[in-house]
Amino acid sequence: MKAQTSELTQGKEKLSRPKKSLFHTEGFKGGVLLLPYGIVFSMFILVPVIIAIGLSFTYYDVINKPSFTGLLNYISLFTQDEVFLKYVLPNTLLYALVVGPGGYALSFLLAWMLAQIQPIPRTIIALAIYTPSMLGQVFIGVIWKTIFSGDQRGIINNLLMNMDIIDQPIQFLLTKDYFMEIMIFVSLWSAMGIGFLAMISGILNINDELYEAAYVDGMKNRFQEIFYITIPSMKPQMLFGAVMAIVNAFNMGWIGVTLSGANPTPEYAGQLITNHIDDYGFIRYEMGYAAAVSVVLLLVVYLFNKVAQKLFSED
Amino acid sequence: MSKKKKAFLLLLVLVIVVGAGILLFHQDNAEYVDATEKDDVKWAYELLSGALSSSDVMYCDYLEYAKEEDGTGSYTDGDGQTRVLDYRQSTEYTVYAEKAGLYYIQLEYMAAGNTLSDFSADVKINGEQAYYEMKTIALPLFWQDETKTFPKDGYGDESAPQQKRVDEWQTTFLYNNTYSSALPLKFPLKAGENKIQITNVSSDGLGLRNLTIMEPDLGIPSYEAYTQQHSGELVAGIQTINAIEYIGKNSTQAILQYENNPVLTPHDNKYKVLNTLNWTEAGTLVEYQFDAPQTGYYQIAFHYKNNKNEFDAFETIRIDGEIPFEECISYRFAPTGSTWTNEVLSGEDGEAYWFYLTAGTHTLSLRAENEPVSRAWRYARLISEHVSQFALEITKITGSELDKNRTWRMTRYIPEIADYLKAYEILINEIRYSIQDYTPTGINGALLSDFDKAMQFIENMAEYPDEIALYTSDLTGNDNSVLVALSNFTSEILKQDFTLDMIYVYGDEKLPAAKAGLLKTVGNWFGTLFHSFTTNKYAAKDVGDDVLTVWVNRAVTHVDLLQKLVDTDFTPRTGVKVKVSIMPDANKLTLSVAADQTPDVALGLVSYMPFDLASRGAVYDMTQFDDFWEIANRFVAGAFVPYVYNEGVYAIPETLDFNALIYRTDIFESLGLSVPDTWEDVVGILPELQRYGMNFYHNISSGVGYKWFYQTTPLIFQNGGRLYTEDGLRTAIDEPNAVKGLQALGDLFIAYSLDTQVNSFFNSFRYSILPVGIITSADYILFKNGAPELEGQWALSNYPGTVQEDGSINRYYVANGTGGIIFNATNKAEEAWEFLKWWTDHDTQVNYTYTLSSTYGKEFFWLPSNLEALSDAPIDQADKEVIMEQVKWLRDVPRTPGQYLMERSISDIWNTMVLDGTSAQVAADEKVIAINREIKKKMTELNYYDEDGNLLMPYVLHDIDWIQEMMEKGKEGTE
Repeated sequence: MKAQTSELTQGKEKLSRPKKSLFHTEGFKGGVLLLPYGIVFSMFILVPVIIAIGLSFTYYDVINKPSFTGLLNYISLFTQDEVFLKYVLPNTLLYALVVGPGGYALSFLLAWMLAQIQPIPRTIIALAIYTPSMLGQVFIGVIWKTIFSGDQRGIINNLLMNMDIIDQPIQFLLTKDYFMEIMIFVSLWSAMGIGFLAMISGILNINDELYEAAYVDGMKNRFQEIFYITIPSMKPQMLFGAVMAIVNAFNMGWIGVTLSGANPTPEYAGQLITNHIDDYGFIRYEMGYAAAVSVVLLLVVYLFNKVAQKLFSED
Repeated sequence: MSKKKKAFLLLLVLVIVVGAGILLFHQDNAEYVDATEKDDVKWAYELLSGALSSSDVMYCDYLEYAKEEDGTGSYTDGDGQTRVLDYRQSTEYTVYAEKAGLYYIQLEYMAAGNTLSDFSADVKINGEQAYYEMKTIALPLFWQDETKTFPKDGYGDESAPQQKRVDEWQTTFLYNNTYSSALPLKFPLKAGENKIQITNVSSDGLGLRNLTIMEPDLGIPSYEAYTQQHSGELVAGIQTINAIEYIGKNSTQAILQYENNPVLTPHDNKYKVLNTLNWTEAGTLVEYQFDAPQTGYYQIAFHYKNNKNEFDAFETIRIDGEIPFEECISYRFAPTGSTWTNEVLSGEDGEAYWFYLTAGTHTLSLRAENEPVSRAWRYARLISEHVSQFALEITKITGSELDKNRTWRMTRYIPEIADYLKAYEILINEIRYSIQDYTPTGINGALLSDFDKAMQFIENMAEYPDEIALYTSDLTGNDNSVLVALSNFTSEILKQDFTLDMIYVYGDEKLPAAKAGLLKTVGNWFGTLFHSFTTNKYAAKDVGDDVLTVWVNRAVTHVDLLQKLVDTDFTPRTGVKVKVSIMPDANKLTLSVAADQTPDVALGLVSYMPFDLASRGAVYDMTQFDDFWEIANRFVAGAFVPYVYNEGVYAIPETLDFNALIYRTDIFESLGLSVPDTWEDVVGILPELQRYGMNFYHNISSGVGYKWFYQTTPLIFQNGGRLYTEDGLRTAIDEPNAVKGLQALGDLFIAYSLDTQVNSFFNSFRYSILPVGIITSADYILFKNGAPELEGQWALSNYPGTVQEDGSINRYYVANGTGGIIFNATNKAEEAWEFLKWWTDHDTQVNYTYTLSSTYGKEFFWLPSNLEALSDAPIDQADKEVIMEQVKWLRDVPRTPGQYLMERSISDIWNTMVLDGTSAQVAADEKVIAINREIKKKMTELNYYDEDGNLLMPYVLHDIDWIQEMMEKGKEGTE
């Protein structure tokens, strides 16, 4: 892998050496090729992000013109917003730490296990594991609400009551007691997405000779196999998976809303930062404040991505 | 690689084989059961109906088992005098019968008032009712299209024409309103003098004239006899009658529809052209007129679609108002799925019937029938009633907490268990036998297949009758039980889905093709696709400056209809042009305000939206119009509460919503319970209900974890509590009365064990797990249309109230419909106000309500906020009385800035109370600070406070009292 890349870069240098007019420079050509992406990217991502950052310094009620308030939004976020500090922040961190790294580790483990078996069952099982991540919110809501329903006819309640473990149905989705755990469970269930597929393909693409060579060199067991061969050989996929897992973990706010049926979740038990943004933006009509929260979210996600890159980048 | 390929191939072959197998077997799996002995059926019927605490004799039972003879002669009473009956009024006719026996009764009637809903009457003969159907005799209104050139809406689509009530005397034989018989009902009369009492049980203004009794024989020959009566040859030529060209119908539920299919006439894939007529209810009669060019024999064919799930539709065909021969009674139209087919009226042998017609004009009518399935329906209903009662009896013995480890000897307590189960089996077999010929796959037909499971359950229970206590869930369980199978059957079997395109009256001619060829179909696809690029329907777009723009947050059907009413009524009257556009998402309004592109008027907004927009200065204050408070008297005061901000009112209510108590009359009767009127009464019936494993349903247990105002606050209001202090700057949720209300609500769940979550009250109610509960208007429609098998087994009653110190009952409930607003940016405020006044006017609303139901079906239910219009709405009179009483107690929650925190705090209070056992006072106290802080924050944003927390100007919070006061003033102003 590494050898190939360096060859490519050398090639580039060679090609760009002869001096030509502006239109024939590599930079220009690359620019033209990038243009469609660049335009779309700036229109739909860059500009909105800049606007959001701009709005985060204002008071904006959606209807009247925004008025500049300086850092007030950020100050109140960290000093006055009780809900944010008491519920949203701890919830988000707990959730992101479990679902992010947890889901990530789980996808790697499953991918690795699948890579050990025959192609046909592997394809079938991989499809089965991948499917939940493709299901829409509504579908996930329907499935898990039926399972955790708080009347005698909810599947879990029914099982527990039939086994005489409980007398009264447990309000899984109405109380704060179990809500976060259920959210995490459901998220993990649907977390085996595109990152998981990338990891399977990564593992399957590792050259078998590497393992053989390593055994000749004295590798003793499968653990060593994973740590010395598998993971180092699939760093790009690992990085991709990590980025997807992080972004996913911070964006899954809808799970709590889908399960409980409304924003906010019962007693803010499943309130994540994206729910908080929705709450302020669309329920309280405080767009400026919501923008500030989303900027904070952006920074947090960026930070986590940096960490992931440190861990898995090529150099 | 080759291994993979092989595996793939293998998989492919497997799929194909399995698929083909399923297809093959599917076509060939018709099964049939044998007939049951008549005596067995009689035994089973008598056993079950005898065991019911209150059992009705249905007409088919009566004919089968009463064995009365037919009477002779005829007699008329009434002397041509008109008697007008209002709701619950009755009149009496005296007739003389030559001998005791069964007679037909013929009645002349006409709508004397302005009602637009069908009449039904209760008939008593000598003070008695021999069978159940006599309670609801159908006296339908007749309708015509106002015009046959269908009006076009603004987009070039055709829309259904106005329906015109035919105000002529109708002479009709008496039928029940479910049309369980294809021929008129027979009534038992004694020899000599008989008193026939007719009571109007529908709506005001039933005009009656003569009543005639006659021998029950219409003289309808068999086909064989019919052909012998006439002679002649098959005539040449073909007369086509388009289904949309009917000259009259007896139901607004025969609905003109458009289907984009090139085989239909007319057809257009760019604009909607009405081309078919659809009906779903038995008894719907549609009449056509045609010319027979010469005297002789004709054949008759129908181009139709029967979309009922694998089941025949039955239509009685009449020519010139008479049934030509017996075979035309309940003629079977085979199911077609979603495709079209031609049916030539013909006998079992496939020979087409020949109809003898003289040259000249004739009428031909179709009436949908239920008779062929009415016995099956009756037995299914009998079993389901009995099963419910049987399960209740078992629970009475075992108690609601069943001991599974005990050895049960149930036959000691209920010796008839084995007999009951045997009777179920016999009757289910009889049901299957009596209708298996009407579905192509016999007892495997979609509607009958549920019985397989039911039979298995019954056989299983019959094996161990002593242990039936353990199997009550197989009897009446929610998901899969005998009761569920029967309920599904009874609710489906009476429905039809019959659509007619063309009628052909023809000689030896060949019929036009019934299905479109492939080429035509594909051509039509492309045509439709092409036109979809050029259409610009429903888009909210710029229009001329002189046009009033109205955005409506409702379905397309509503938008179309409103535009049509505007074009035909409002614009001619006022000269103001109006453009109605659809607004799929109400949030678009906020954006349009931000972008300064608001319409003049927006309709269909949920009740919290006007306040949000008003507090930011986007909406016009309607109190600026001089006659506002006068107009306000059209509505109930409580509906305005959420639209008030400071001294202004920013929206006008369009629709209402109600909360009411719904209860199962059969269960209340068999348990001897009385209908609860107050919350104390509710608590009073709970022990009895819970003893049988049943419960009361409070609408707070429905749906999601977040509890809205309408679920949480009624009891606060009923207990005299309030949510805000007078100045609107602080919450009053911790005041004693409010806490009392909260605690009362919590106690229902803590102390009296109501279910804290109910997934589907609709199903729980159907299967009598929750036989009583609180519903909204949307639920009401669902029960009305979605559970026909429960018809007559439930009733509405008022929302439970709280007894006040002076002994009166306070029934405040929180619910609101939708409202309409005018935007501040408009330059046509006066016109907009005119428009809203016209829109909420009595006549417009009544017209709208009826047209909606007659154009799109009665599921399109509209509850006008205009009280007079509401009292004329097509709702059953008994229910309407409850609703009219209840809406007087409507009281929405006053809106203030920061309201959302109030709502979620109360939701949290309920949660902590019920799930953690905190007391209401403690839970409320915890929330007060946060709510007050949020209110202050919002007030600061809206410049009521300065940044240091000093009040800059007083905030005014007007509640229902102020509105009532202003409305009174408005009323005085007019006098």
